[in-house]
Parts: sequence; structure tokens; C-alpha cells
Amino acid sequence: MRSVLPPRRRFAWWGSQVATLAVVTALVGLSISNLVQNLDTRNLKLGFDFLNQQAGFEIGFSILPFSAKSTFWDVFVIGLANTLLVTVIGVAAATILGVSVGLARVSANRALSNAALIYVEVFRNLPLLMQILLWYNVVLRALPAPRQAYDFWDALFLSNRGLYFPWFSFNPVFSWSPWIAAILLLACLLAITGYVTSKSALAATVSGLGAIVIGGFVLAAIHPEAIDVSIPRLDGFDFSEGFVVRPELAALVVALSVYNGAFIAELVRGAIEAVGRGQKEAALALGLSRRLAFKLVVFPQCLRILVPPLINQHLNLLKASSLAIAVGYPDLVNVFVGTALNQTGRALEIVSLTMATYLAIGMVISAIGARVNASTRIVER
Amino acid sequence: MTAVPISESPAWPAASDRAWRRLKANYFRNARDGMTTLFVVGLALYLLYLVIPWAILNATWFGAGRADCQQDGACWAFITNRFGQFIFGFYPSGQQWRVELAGGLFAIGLIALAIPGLPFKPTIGAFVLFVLPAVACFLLAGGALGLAPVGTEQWGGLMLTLTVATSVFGLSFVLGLILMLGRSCGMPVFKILSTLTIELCRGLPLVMVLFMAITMLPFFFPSGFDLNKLALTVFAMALFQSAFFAEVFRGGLQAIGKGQYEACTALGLGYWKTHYLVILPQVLRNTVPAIINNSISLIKDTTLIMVVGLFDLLNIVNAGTADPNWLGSTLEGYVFVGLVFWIICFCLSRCGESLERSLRTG
Repeated sequence: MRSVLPPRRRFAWWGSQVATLAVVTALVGLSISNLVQNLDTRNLKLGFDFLNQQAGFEIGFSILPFSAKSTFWDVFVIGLANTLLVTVIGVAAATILGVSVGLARVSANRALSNAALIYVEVFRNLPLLMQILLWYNVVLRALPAPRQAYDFWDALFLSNRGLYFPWFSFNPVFSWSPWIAAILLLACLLAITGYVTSKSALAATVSGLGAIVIGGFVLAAIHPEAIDVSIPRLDGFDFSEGFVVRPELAALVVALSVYNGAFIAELVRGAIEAVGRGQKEAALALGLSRRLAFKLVVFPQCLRILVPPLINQHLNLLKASSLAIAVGYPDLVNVFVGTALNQTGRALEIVSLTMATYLAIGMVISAIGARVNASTRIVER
Repeated sequence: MTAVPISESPAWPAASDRAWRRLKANYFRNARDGMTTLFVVGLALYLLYLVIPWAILNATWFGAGRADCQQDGACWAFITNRFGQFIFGFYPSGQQWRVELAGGLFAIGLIALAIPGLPFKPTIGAFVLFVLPAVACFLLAGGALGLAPVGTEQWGGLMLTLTVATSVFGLSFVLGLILMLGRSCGMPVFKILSTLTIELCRGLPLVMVLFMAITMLPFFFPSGFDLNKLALTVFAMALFQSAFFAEVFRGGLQAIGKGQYEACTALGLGYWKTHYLVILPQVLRNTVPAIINNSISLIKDTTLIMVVGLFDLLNIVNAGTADPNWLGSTLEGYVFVGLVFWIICFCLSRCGESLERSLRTG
């Protein structure tokens, strides 16, 4: 196309690009020289060596071990783990909620479909940040104090300091290696058999994971001493032992799921309505029951339409999890870009590392989405 | 043959019978369906039973503190007492007519645009889009022509929310168009720059972008260069949103057939005329629903300026609940904020639908 341009246009083609490039280069150069000057006056230098320094502050919630002696790199890893934890739980809950509400939305029962419509219209049009604060400051704060906590079977406790449930840990004294080897071998065997018999990666994964879970239960039944179960109990003003889900995490996860669930419900409704009515009618005419017609004919087709926007919604949830800062849940942005940046003043390094991390996670989720999308595509001749 | 009255014929049941049948088909097809209906209706009634006495029957509407409020009802006195602050923030009370005037001008402009069949609509539209924001900026900030200057740190409440929302919308709309044209114009330099900007902004959380603007950006400016926090925030949000607008516009662009370009070339139109007269009007018309959706999420996202310490509607209400005089009024505050946002967003989506209908071509 370039070669057929008349001389005047060719000049515009090249001239505009060269000029823009020159302006951008000049701006970047100016910014860098400003940066160097600013770093000089503040006596800072660039580099990621600060990651090995001791952080010296506490983190309120972590699924990984952490102490005041941990380094800033540990802070980064823990923040990332907390972000991923919220994202994974939120994505699962939002999908379940959204698909259920979306199905209710297309139900023939008007009461059910109207209830779903009200849910969608209410939660879609309220700011997410407000919803997070509402769950945190109003709903969860209204729960009783630990001493008056709701008690379920003396094992599960719900109070305004969090939800406590029994947790297990592996006894390090027990000789684990033969058991682990046996369970993993069994899992591999089952996964391979599952794949060979059904030619489906899903069946293989399910049978493999199932073998691990069942193996764990068998082990616990034969050798109860191998696994320590810790049950929460009241200890002064709070519970100790067991595993606790703090209100910060709970508010964040609930608000993210309810908010994104409303969007997913609309996606599900759109996808179901996009499948032609003739498809359902033909399936019914063939003698399939309503349930089978939906499961075998409508749903697979609607999945194909649903997957790309659904992945996009999950990416939104990942990004929205950074609102954790509003309730003080220690996610990546809160502990790393917030606390660690305040302590070290390394704005440039910290912000760029966090940016790269978010972009990388986004790319991984997109890649998974592309795989799922490819597996639901119509296979043509 | 005897004439059978229509209402008695079996194929045409009486009105009450029809209503009953419709009720049965829609709500009580079978036992499970009926139980679902009863459950949903029961749940709705229970919620109303909880909400109405709290929000209306036992509510206190006016008062000077939480102590004036009834125990088992909503304390709307919190809202009515601080209403001025929630709307105007810390704007000096003698100067609030400026905010009202700016808001009034926008309201008149928008109403004029909404009246069907009014003449000079393009002129009014251009006035609202380009002249009014400048006038409003001048009115709010002041500092010349005898208007006392009001620093942006005194702006707050609903007024700040709407200011940020409209300026971010205007900036990101234009920036989004530029990015879209850059990405699709076929010139490598523009394409790479636009694609880089778009993908970077789309992959990052807005909180992150705001933090970047506040903590990292000052490093790239000459030292001692005073950056206004509000301006930085608006710029960062506009850049962030423009990536989403650019992708929306690109989707609209891809729906336009090759024939349109070929026809323009045949007519001898250049690049700018082709886009201004033929392509962009179609792109904008095709993308109205997506533009409205983006605007709704943009307005909801303005609440995020809380993290950089600006007092928008949500943050000023949130801060108000910490007042010892009003302790325990959190729920009332959030309900008020929620109502305001919900009404704005709901109206926008309804306006969008009617705009979509009126723009639909045969």
C-alpha cells in the first residue's frame, strides 16, 4: 500500500510517524533525566536489592508463614498469595452464583425470574467499593462477639472476629514417604486409566484428584496419629487453634462474588437466549425431556458464547481484588505497594514489579480462557 | 346454527379464566413450580417486613445527633443533618452558588438535548461538550474575574464525584477515539504506541494505576513541580478508561464493511474526511450500548479515588460515620450513597436504551 501512495501522502505517512517518534523519545528522555535528578536529590538509587532486607512489620492474615524477620520478597510473595486466594475463591463463588441466577433469570416461573432480575439490577448498579464497605462495616460487624459466637456442632464458630473451623496439619514425626508415594502412584494410574477410557482430560483430572482425597481419608482412618486435627476453642477474648477466616477476607470475597455474580448472570442469560429457540424445540420434538434438552443441546452451545466474556469477567474480579485496601485485607497492592513502599520509598521498583505481576497473571488467565474456548469450539470438517 | 357468544366458547375463555390460566402457566405449572413461587414470594414479603418498619415507619428524619433517633428505626437525621456536606464537600458555604450554577447549566444543556425535535441540536451538543466544561471548571476553581479561588482540596461530596465523572468521561472518550484510530490506522509507530497503552491499562487494576499516578509519576517531573492531586487522579483515571473506550470503538469499527472505505476512496475523500463524515458516525451509533455500559462502570469507579485520599460522596459519608455524635449510622450512610449511585446508573442505562432506539436505522 505504501508504494502506491502519491509523493505528498508518502511524506505525510513518514513525516507524522517520525515526528511522533521524536516527540515520544524527547518526552521519555526528559522524564528519565528528571528521574535521575530526583533520585540524586533524595539520595536513592535504583535496584531490587531492597527485596532482601528485613521487612520488620506484621501482616494480619497470611496463608504462608510470616514473621517480622521476613524480607520484602516474602512480603511480595505473601501479598501475591493473598491476592490469588481471594481471586480463586471469588471466581468460583461468583461463577456458581452467577450461573444459578442466570438460569433463574430464564426460568419459566415468573416469580423466580423477577427475583433474579431484581438481584441483578440492584447489585450491578452499586459501586463495588461501597458494597465491600457495607459487608465489612455493617453486615459482618453486626455478628456477636467471640464470647457469644454462633456455635455449630462445637466445631464451627461464627463471630464478628471471623469464621472459625477445624483444620488439619500433617504430623512431621510420622513416616510419610511410602504413603505419599503409594497415593500418588494410585492417582497417576487412575488418571491414566480415566484418560484412556474416556479420552477426556476432565475425567482424568477428577479421577486423579479423587484418588488423592480418598487416599488421604484411608490414611487418616488407618493411622489417625498421622494427621493432627485442631479444633477452634474460646481462649480469652478470641478463639485459638483451627483455621479462621477474618471479616476482611470474608467481606471482600462476598462482595466480589455478589457483584461479579450479577454480571455473570447477565452473561449467562444472554448466552442462553442467543441459542436459537429452534434448537430447544427440535430437542423436545426428538423426545428429550426438558432437563436433557437443556443439558445436551442448549447448554453446550451456550457455553461457546459464554466463555470469552466470562473469562473477561474473571479478569475483572482479579483486578477488583485490589480494593482489599479499603478494608485492610493484606493483598498484593495493600502490603507491597502500600506498606512496603512507605517503608522503603522504592516507588519505581515496587510499582513496576507489581504491574508486571498483574499483567502476567492476566496473561495466564487469558491463556487458560483461550484453551477452554478452543475446547468448546465447533469441530468442523 | 346458533351463535355462541365469544366469551362462552371453549377456545376463548372468559377474562377471569384467562388471568387464572396465565397465573397458572407463569407461577404454578406443577407442584415444584408452585413451591418455588411460594418460597420466593414469602422471602420477598419477609424482606419487606424487615425493611419497611426500619426505613419508614420507625425512622427518624431530623435531629442533631444519634441520640435523637429511635432505637429500632433508621436514623435519616444523619443524612438530612449533613446533607450540605455530602453534596458540596468542604466548599465554602458562601460560594456554593457557583457549584449550583455549574450543575444547573449542565442540567439545562442535557434537558435541551433530550427534547425531541428541538432545533440547533448540534450546536447545543458542541456547547455542552466543549464550552460548558471550561465554564464549569472556571466557576468551580475561580481565581479570576472577581471569583474567589477555591482550592481542589475543598472540593468534595457528590459535587466532586460528578466533576470527576464528567471530566474523566470527556477526556477518556476523546483519548479513546485517538487510541482506536492509532491502533487501526496501519502506521507502525502509532499502532505500537496505542496498542501498548491500551493493553497496559486494561491489564492493571485501577487502584494500581491511581497509586502509580500518586507515588511514581512525581519522580518523572522536575523537582519542586507542584502536581495537583485531583488533576493527577483525573488524568490517571482518564488514561485508564480511555483504553476501554478504545476497545469498544475498535469493536464498532470492525463491524463496518470494507465497502464504506472503498466508496469514500471512490468519492475522493481523504483519511480525515472519510473518518469524520462516514466511519466515526457509524462507529459511535453501533457502540451506544457499550459506551453506556462503560460510562456506568466509570461512574461507579469514581469511588476509588478514596484510596488516594480524596473525599468523593462515598468517602465523605464514610468519614462522617466516624463522628462520635453519629456513631452507628453506617448503614444509613451507605444506603444513601447506594441510592444516589443506583439512581444515576439506572437512569443512564434507561437513557442509553432510548438513545439506542432513536438511533436505530431501518
